[in-house]
This record gives sequence, C-alpha cells and structure tokens, in this order.
Amino acid sequence: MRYAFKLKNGALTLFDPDTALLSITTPHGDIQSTTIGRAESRLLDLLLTDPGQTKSREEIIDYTWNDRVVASGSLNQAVFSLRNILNDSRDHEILMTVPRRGYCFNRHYVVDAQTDLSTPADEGAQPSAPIEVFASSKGDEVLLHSGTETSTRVKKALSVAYVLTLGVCAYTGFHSGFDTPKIEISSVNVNELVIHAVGNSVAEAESLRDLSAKQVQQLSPNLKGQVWLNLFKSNYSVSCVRPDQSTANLQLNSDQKDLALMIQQCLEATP
Amino acid sequence: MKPVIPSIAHWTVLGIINAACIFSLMYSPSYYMENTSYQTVTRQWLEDLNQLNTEEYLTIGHGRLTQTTLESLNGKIRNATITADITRESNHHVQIKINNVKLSQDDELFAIEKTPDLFFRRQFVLQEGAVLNYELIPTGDKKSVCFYVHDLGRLRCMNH
Repeated sequence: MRYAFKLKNGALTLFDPDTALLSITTPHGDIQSTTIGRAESRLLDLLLTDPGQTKSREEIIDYTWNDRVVASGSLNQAVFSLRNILNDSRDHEILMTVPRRGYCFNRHYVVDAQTDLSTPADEGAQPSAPIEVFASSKGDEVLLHSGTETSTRVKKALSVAYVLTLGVCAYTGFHSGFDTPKIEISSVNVNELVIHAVGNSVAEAESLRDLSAKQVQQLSPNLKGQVWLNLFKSNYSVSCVRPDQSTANLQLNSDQKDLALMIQQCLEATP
Repeated sequence: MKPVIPSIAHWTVLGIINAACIFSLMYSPSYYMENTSYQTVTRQWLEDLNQLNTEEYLTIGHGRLTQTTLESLNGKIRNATITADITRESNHHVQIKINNVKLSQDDELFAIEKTPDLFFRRQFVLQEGAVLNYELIPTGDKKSVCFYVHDLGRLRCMNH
C-alpha cells in the first residue's frame, strides 16, 4: 500500500511504508526523495491507514515500536521529526495533535492517487500503477514525473476542450436563432381547405383562426388549398398556395372586404 | 475524498455535446431551396379602393437575397430591386441587411400618399442598411415557400 498526500506548499508527496521512502514532487516538478527513519515511517504508516481518525499515544507506540517498551519522549521525538520532514512544525495542520487523545493525519491533505496521478492509458487496467512504479527505483522516478506531466497535459487539454465546446454550443445557439422573434400559427381544416392563422401570440392566432373558420362556412365546400392569414394593425394579409401550387397574396384593410371573400379570391382568381 | 471522474468520461461527454452541436448545425432542413427563383403575385387594395398589383421575385442563395418587385397601377409599371446580405440564418429564420436598392425611377413607388402605412414600410425597406427578419413557414411543399417579415408584418407565399 502506497500513500499520496500533499504538503502545504502544494507539493505532491508519495510514501512507501515498505521502503520508508518519501518522495516529494514540488509544484515546479522537482522530485526530492528521502528515506525516513523507521519510527517516523511506522508512525506515518499508521496515521495514513485511517486519515482523519485519531490514534491514541498507546496505540501509536504499540504499532511504531512493536510492543517494545519506550519512553513517551520517543513518540514526541518521532512526531517532532516527522513534522519537520513534512514542513509542518509550525502549525501542525497535517499531523494534528488531538488534545488528551492522540494524533491524527489531516485527511484534507490526502490525495486521491487515481485522480491526480493516473493517465488515460492506464486508468482502466492499473489504477494504482503510477504510485507503485514510482517507489521502486530512481529511474522510475522519471516515469512518475513523466506521468505527472502527462496528467497535467491531459487536464490542460480537457480545459481547452471545455472552452471549445462552450464556443461550439454558443455558436450553435446563435446559429439556431433561438433569440429571434417568433410567430404562432394556429391551423384548422375546413373540408379540403387548410387555414393557417398567423399571429404574434397563440391567442391572437387562435382568434383569427376561429374568425376565419366561421366565415368560410358560407363559401363553397369545394375550395381547396392552403391559406395563411395575418392581421397586422388593421390590415389583413391573405396568402395562399393553390392546388396547382401557384401562389397569390392579397392585402387590404379589414374594413374594406369580407375575409371569406378574400380567401376565395386568393384561391380562385388570378389577381 | 473527492469523487473520481475518469478523464475518459470527460472526453466522452465532450464528444457527445460537440457531436450534437455539429449535427444540429449540419442538419438544418431549410424551408426554401437555395438559388431558386420564387415568384408570386400580390393584389393590394388602397384606401381609395384602387388596386395595386405587383409581381414579386425572390432568390436566396450564397449568403445573398435578391427581391424584385414589379408594380402596376392604372396601367403604369415601375420596379424596384433590393439586394441584401444574409447576416443570420437558421432553418426557419433568415436575417438580412439591405445593401443595395435600385428603383426604376428616383421618386418613390406609387400610391404612397394614399396609404401612409405602405409609405412608412417602403421607407424602411428601401433604406440601405435596414435589417429585416424573415421567418419561414413550413408549407409541406418544396415548390412553394411562405414567410413572415417581422419588421413589416408582411406575409407572403411564393412558388417556383
């Protein structure tokens, strides 16, 4: 089991309890490897098994010194030494003292190794591979460093991809014209005649549809085709597509002529 | 411990979003045919009950729109042609900006003094730089196109 956690300066730290090797990768990418003392290694190992869980002094001493009888000052020394190594000697934020209970490792500094270290190629097969590779030899440190760089590149690429996607979506939204004014169309079939009333609102379109449907009842049932109607201010527009697919448009003031007559003229006569 | 979201999931989601956007851009069934000349006839009753008859021709394509109107009143014929750049376009909406107007005579077309509303609409349409929004209406027929010009409250159906 290898552990990964961060220091207060953001440096990624890997700890292998089997070899007592502590490898710190600075934010600049420099790697510093240190083999820590056995007591410090055991102490860190125990605290990292349950980050956030307080371990009593007795429990720590039992585990760290394997039931050997040691003075309580030995634990204080090990904690002091470990805090120095972790650059935590001032405020004890990482290796926390829990008054009258013991010590615990601040779980907020623990890093999810899969998220921070893995690359797309090894995610599926070996989630913990980057840590294991790193701890074995100096030559492998290069691999880890390279893996970290790859991970950074992947994150950057993802950021760029998100920005580009945002741009594509914005362009699509702009292109689709979602913010443009829209008309409402309400249609009704009267025999073989289809009347489409066009309005700026559904109510306006339905009102015009009902009016026209009522008026065309007086016309011949043989009228065929499609008619679009609109009332703009006090002017009617009647546009029609006849059965022979020719078109015509009539415009007049609503006071001048009957709507049904206009529909008939539009469908039958050549203006 | 924060939840792990593998980067493959990020890439998959991004891929799906982009594919959907590109698909919607590419697949935009238009309600009109490009570079096809549509025509229609229009009859308008003026306030003095004279009839103003027009023939209208419309072509849309290559980012441009051209509309010609032949107008006849009491045996006299005049014409006007406007060309416009398409500034925005979707499958049901075309926004144009008029960049050129040609009139057969320098003065305004007929009958403006008899229909103030018509006068103001013409003033707008015949102004270079004017922006018009066409909303295309599905007709269920490829030979015809219907549209509503929002800025003029004008409804038209044309065929080719």
